[in-house]
Amino acid sequence: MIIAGTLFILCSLLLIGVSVPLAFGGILIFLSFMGGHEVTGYLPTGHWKMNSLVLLAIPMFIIAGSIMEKGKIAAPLVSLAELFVGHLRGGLSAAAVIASGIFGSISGSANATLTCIGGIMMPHLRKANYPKGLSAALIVSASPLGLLIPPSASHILYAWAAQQSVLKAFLSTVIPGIILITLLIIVNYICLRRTKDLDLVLGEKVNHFGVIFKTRSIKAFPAFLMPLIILGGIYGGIMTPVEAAGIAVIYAIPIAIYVYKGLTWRSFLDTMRNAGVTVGVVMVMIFMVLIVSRFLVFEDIPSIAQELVYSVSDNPIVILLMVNLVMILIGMLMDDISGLLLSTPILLPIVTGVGMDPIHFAAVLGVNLGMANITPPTAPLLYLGSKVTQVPVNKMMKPTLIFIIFAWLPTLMLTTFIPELSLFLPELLLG
Amino acid sequence: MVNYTSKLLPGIRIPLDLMMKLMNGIIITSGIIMALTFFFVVIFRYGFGADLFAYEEWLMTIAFWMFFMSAAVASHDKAHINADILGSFIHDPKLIWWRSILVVCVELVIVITVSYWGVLMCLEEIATYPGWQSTIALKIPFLVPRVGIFFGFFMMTIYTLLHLYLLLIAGPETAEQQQPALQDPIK
Repeated sequence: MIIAGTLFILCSLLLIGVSVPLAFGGILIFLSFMGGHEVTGYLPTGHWKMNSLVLLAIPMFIIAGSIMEKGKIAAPLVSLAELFVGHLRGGLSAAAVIASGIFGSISGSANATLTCIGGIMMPHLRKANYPKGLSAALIVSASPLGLLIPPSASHILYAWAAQQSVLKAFLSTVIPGIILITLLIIVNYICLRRTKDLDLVLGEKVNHFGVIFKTRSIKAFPAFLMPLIILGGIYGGIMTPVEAAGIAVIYAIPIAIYVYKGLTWRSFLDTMRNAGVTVGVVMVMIFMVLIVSRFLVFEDIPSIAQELVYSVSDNPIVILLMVNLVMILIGMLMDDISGLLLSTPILLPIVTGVGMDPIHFAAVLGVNLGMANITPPTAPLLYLGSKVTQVPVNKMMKPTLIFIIFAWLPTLMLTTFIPELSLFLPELLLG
Repeated sequence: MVNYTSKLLPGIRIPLDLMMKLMNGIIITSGIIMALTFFFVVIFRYGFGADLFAYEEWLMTIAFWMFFMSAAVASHDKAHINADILGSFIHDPKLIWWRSILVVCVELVIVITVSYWGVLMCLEEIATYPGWQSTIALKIPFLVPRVGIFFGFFMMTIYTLLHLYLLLIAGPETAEQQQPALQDPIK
């Protein structure tokens, strides 16, 4: 009764357009009537659960991503990627995908990746006569690479919720991320070949490749140093992920203001304010989801869900497919952070029950929720992408679905059914 | 940033604008303090072999105020994430307006209830004085972050009320500018 009621209320509130944190508030009101819980316990529970230093990595990564986004740190990375593939047919769009992967390793944020890379690449793609809808959809579909290529705030959140190693969670999505980059480039190339009356303006092949490469690399060096500091600091045991996130903010400020000159001290304050609003959006959602998940655990929902799934089949393949389906549905209704916090306590016991490693599940969850960010109806990146690229959502819808079906879903299936893809790097580097 | 308070009477507009400035100040300052703290934690550790004593206790207190002030500002900016399913199907301005009214009313009921729980939380905390809960080392009362949580939800209530008021005075004619479907996705 409580499961059905919770699902009904959540879906109804989300469907009519109530914001995600308040939809969870609606569930709490329902639980207070049905579960007989003391309402005075709700908010203190959220405070207790959220009173963890690790969670401060999320606002730090959001702020660092915003500073890098406004600080034009992506431009030298894009020009470096263009140097390699810009002169090939489909090369400019491939450069956008590669640049998204590289920028993902700097910002750890899909929103920052989309805004930076989309803002820079879309005018280039338009100028070179690339189809608008397809190009915008490609940029949107590549932006969740910011969540897959480490560091990633959502992995820190998963590691915290599932009591796993942050470093292993980081490494689990590197190979799936590379597979996704490859598939996105291939699918885009095929789509371009099938587009009629396409008159692409290809870039000229540079003559002094070595010299230009050196110049552009020097310009991109301060940006490349960012993931080296963050990941080197974490993997070298010098700092914790949350400290690294704080260092990332401090490093990004002078780089954005004095090196790339994308920010002034005045616009820095505006950037901090806007980043703060995003922090509020995310953190109040985490607060509400943590309370709801806590009370769902009180109601023994994970065990009920486990029994429900096992009653359908005890075949691991079927169970993993069902888990993926549930996560896709969750992802269609809510954002990645809420999806992650809601899915982890309920689905982790189910997948570990069929022998899945929790780090492997981190990768499956990462790919799934990355895909959720671009899957309608709740597709924050799709809507943001429409704003950034100035292409209406309806023009992006069909190509986005093509990228979801032919690039994201195969990546998800490979990640789910070939554990080595997610476990190889963590085992190789961390044992 | 859109200023939603411009259509209000000065007696209401001025305090709300001042409150917004204060909250923006808290958000910006807290973000900078958080980053600097982590930076200095690493510098102190490797530069001076020292550590910042119990910094997590005051930092988490500041963080809670920042999170909930930001959430309130996000309510003002209509920045909270929502699933825009109905918005894709409704094109009639009147229906859009009625749907917006419905959504804002539902949100108002929920956020008023959560704010009430916030009052209960704070009252319960105050009732335990002098034996109230506090952090281990610096003895910062839990009431401090919890007041921040309550205040954040309270301001969310105020801004939800503001959006309802603006919807009602604007009427269905301007529904397209007011519908939740146009809420900004997170930036």
